[in-house]
Amino acid sequence: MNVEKSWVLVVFSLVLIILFFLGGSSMLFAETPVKNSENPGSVDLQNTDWDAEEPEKTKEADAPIDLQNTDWDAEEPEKPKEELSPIDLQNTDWDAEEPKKTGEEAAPVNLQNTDWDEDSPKDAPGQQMKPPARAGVVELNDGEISLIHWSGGFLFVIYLFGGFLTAYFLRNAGISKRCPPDVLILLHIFWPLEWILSPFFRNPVTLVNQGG
Amino acid sequence: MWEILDLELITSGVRLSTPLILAALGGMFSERAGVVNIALDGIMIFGAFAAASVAYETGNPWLGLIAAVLVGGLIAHVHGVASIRYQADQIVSGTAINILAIGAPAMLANAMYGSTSITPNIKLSIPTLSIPLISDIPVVGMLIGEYSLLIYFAFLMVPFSWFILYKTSFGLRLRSVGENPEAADTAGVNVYLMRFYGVWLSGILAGLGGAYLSIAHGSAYVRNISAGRGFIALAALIFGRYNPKLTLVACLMFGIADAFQIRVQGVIDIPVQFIQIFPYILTMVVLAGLIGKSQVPAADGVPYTQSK
Repeated sequence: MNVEKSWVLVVFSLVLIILFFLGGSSMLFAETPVKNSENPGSVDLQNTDWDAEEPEKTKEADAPIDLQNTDWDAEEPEKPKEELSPIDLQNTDWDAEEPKKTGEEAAPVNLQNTDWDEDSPKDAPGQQMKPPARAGVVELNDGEISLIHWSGGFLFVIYLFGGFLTAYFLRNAGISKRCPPDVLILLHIFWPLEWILSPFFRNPVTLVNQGG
Repeated sequence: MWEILDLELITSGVRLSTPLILAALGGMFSERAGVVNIALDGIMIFGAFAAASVAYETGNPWLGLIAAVLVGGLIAHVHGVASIRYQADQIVSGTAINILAIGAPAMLANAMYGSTSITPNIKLSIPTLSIPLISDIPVVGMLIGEYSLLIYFAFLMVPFSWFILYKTSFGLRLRSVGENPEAADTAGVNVYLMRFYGVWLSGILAGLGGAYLSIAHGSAYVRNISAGRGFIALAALIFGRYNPKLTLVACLMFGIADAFQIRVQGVIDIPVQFIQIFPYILTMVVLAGLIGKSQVPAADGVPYTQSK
């Protein structure tokens, strides 16, 4: 095996290890419903003591409903009156004015003038109208959004043109002379590594035939 | 019927042609260097997934773009190693990557988010740039005044690619290894390295094309997000005769055809499925009519073995 092939093998095995590590870690930490121990439907079959006696169930649970001896013609016991009393829609006086609400109940909530950022006492009328913050969702303001775009855009431009400039400026350096093309391209992709490694690769010595 | 033929058709055509432009320019660098890259579609899918997942995890879409560039470059590198270094059949290698792109992102999406077909919506996407003054002009402002930054980037890449290809020594060397690698080698050009550069650039640009689909045009990765756009980009490249300017025209044509089929749905009383095949029919017609007449680089698809 020559030196070039060993370079290729080393780099590819490194890439594969990273890929497998990333894939494996993402699978490990993925929240799947099967692995969730709080899932009430899941039973830990492996750790179950199959020889242990099953605890006795309570009598209520054990007692089956005796369907054969049930008196099907008997009237069902009446439900409490509160449940049975419907609102008498026919006899309702629809023209009568509804009694006015009093006090805090009657006061309309002025949503536009409410100061949402102000800490209000719990019994204040506007308190319950405030939309609750959703868990896990971070709201960004305009300043944060522009910071993300500026810093991210700067990083993107640096990365993209950094690769091209590295390929241009280090084209005659020792590292580009010694590496096989495929490894050199990989170094261009991870170009900061190329700059770090470049001092360790000196230009190869060329022997000049001086005659004689 | 005629009300759909308005300026909106052109603007949505511009938006839909952007991934085609990026992928076709990438394909141009690869084919000009003598390596057929039919893996553009697969690289786009990989790039779209990488961009969406990184943008979601970090909350920064620009880091998603960097991830798309990285992943696109690495996947293209696999194609390069197989077809340049080990001289495998370039069509077979590209097809293998396209098949891999059907399953690998789905598997990773399932492992990371519990769904094989979709990633969670990203919070921020690539911002839209409104050009001052120009965006206020009535018709011109609507046509070129307000788009995503990636769209401007794609359109700026066209003259930049033309300059690189025809006005620099790098471009001359790249074209020479695609036309006559033996002669280039004799002149001292590193054929393998130049071909790797071509494939690398194709991966970066196709990855960006995929990223546009997931974090600029859309807000998540969905399964088969490219919908064959990598192949349409190849058709546009052939239609554009491997020239950046003509390729841009071809991509715009395909993009507007795509926008047309979207807008015409529900307007004409034809089943939607028939309308949706319109861009693909156009692709086949273009390929059938022009594939023999297009000036393919002489050594395109031919592996090069350096003589000892």
